[in-house]
This record gives sequence, structure tokens and C-alpha cells, in this order.
Amino acid sequence: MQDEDDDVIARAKAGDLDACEALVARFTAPAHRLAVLLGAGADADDVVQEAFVKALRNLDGFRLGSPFRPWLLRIVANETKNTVRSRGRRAGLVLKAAALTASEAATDDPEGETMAAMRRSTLLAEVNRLPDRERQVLICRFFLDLNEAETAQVLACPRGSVKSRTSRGLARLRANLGEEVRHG
Amino acid sequence: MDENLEAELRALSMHLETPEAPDLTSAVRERLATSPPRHPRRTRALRSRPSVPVRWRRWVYALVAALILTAATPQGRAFAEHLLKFAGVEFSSTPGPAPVASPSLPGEVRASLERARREVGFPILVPSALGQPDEVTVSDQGRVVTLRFGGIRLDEFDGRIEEMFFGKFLAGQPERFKKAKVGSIPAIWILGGHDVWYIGRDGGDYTASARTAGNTLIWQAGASAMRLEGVSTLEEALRIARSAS
Repeated sequence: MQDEDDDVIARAKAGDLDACEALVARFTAPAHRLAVLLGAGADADDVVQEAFVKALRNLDGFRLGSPFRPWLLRIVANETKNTVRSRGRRAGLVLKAAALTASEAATDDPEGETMAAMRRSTLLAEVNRLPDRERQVLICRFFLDLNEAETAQVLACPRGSVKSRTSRGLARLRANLGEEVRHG
Repeated sequence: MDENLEAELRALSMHLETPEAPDLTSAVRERLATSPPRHPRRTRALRSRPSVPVRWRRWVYALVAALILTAATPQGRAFAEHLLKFAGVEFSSTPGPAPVASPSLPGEVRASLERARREVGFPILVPSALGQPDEVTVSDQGRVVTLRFGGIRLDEFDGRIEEMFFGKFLAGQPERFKKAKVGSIPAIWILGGHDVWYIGRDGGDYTASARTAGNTLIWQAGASAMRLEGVSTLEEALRIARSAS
């Protein structure tokens, strides 16, 4: 996989537009998901397009043989940050739970599924409430399934910060969820 | 416990509403083909951070927009989120801890103004318009000093550091917020009652501090973040703020 990528990237670096197009086709989905989860909202399509144009114009800055995905996602994360900043408001409502799908609603245990959906929405509300830096790390680690090193690269922060923000974020979530149970 | 929570978060990722990814291939191709890179090393700029004043101004502008947005969408209120940070104050659209009967800040003790000046790591400003304070307290090992003048209260704390000290619960009511200026310094005026609480060193809410505050002016005076509470009009609050030295 890596070799195959390297070959395409090498061609893209040399200015081959077909190779560029192949990279766009292949990495649009994760790039788009990252932009949405980090708060790009309705601007996600534009953010990703802009990120691809920047990334592909600056392939000189990419070292062949290193992983392309986190290198690209870092540019997407930056572009998202700039967009959210420029429209003058924080990335509110970053995460939304999907409505129950038809198959979920039609389970043998509709009550159980409703409880699960409520729990998800509570958890999500707490994730949304986290300080930005902790939320972003948890999004990368658990919603995008990036490892610590990749998360550090994407968010442009030291790996130690990823570790500490992950544990702080989890601790805060646990405390807030615990409080809700007590109050409930 | 953590492992359960991690697993739960991973499972949650399946249930997130994310719109379908667009097909960008031809749009990107077209742009790459038509205009050559004007700034070949542009990606370097992505690493730069905005200077503090720029970032600060941005928060001021963000306030009104964010609140209008929240007010406009019902789900905006339904979902928990933090809106804004300004001069050591974090604004929240979800309720914080419930107000308590005798609220206090962590480790809050009375002190003379002279002793407070020795104990805190930032200059304490006293508004000459209010005269000498009736009471001075120092809290959280010198992080906060509070001056009381009758029904007026002035909290001062080191506003340069990144952590936030006070949370304020503000439902989406943009008409209750006003941008203002203390001299040339941006300030925020909050009209009417709102919950306020202290955010501890660990970033958690300090529940024993939760109370309902009245009109409040927030601004930053040099190193210090200031919140002046209990003045009936903005004009009067600004007059008091300008007299702080």
C-alpha cells in the first residue's frame, strides 16, 4: 500500500494531474470526515478542496516514504482551524449524533436501543463541552482512529501533549458523566 | 474504566452524523491546472500562530456572532458547548453547577490590601472612583483577589495565562451582551443576572463558588483580567473601570 502510494505521490510531485486526481479520490473521505468533526460544518467541502490544492501544490514539502495520510490531514486540520476562525465564531455543535436508523429502530428491543441512543447523546454532549484541545485529541484518537504519533502530527503538537490531553479529556468526561448520574 | 469509556467513544464514532464526502477530483484538478503555485512554501505559514492581540480581538468579535447563532438554533441550546473565552472568563451556553447558599472561591481568606499585594503575583488595581475597598480577599493561593465596595465587587486575576478562571452560563440572548471599551481596551458588558462559577486549577468547575451574578463588566488591564460586578449602568461601570490604577 505504502509503495503504491509512493509511486502515485512521486508522479503527482512531478506534476502528473492524473496522479493528483487519484490522491484526491483516495483521500477525500477521511479528509472530509476530519474537517466535519473539527467543526468546518457547511464549509467542509470548501475546506477540503482548499486543503488538497495547497497540499498538492506543496508536495515538495512531503518526504517520500513517510505516511501521506497524516501529512495531508494536518493541512486539512489547519485549513479547518483557519476557516472556523475567519467566520468569527467557535466551532460550535461540532458533533451531532445521527438519528436512529430504520434498522436500529426496528430491533426487538426498541427500549434498549432508545436508552443506548440517549446515552450516546449524553456522551456526545459531554465531548462537545470539553476544552477544544482535549476534544480535538479525542476526536483524532477515537473517532478517526489515529494513533498517538499521527494525532500529534495532525494537530501539530508534541506527542506528550497528545498523551496528556487524552487522559485529561477522558478524566473530565468520566467526572462529568459521573456527576450526571448522581444528579439524575 | 478508561478502557470502557474508550470503547464507548470508538463505538460512538459510528453514530456521528457526518455528511457524505463530495467528489472533488475535477474541481481540484481544474485549479491545479489553471493557476500555478504562487507561494510554493505556503505551508510554512500554516504553522504560525496569531499574535495575542489578534487572537484576543477575534474572541470579542466571536462573542456576538456565536450568541446570535446559538439563539437562532434550538439545537444550539440543546447541545452542550462552550462558546467563548475572554480575559480569563469562559462563557458557556450550558448550565454550570447550581448556585449555592454561601458561595466562596477556593481557599478564600480576608487580607489587608497591603498583604494581598504581597501575596498575589500581579499588580492589584483599585478604582479611585470607588475609594478604598470595604473588604479584600485572596483566593486559590494568590490566583485571585476580590475587592468589595458595598454591593460592588471587583475580581482581579492574572489574565495572561491560558487557563480560564470563571465560567459564566449565558443562554443565547445576544441583547444582553454589549461590546464596550475601557479607554482603548475591549470589554464585554453583561446585562442582568447570570450564573458564574470558578474554574479550578485542574480545569474542573469549582461547585462551591457557583452563584448568580448581576450586571458585569469584563476587561483586561495590562496583565490583570478584571470583572466588575454590581454596577447598574454600563456608563457607570466604564467610569469605574477607567479609574482603576
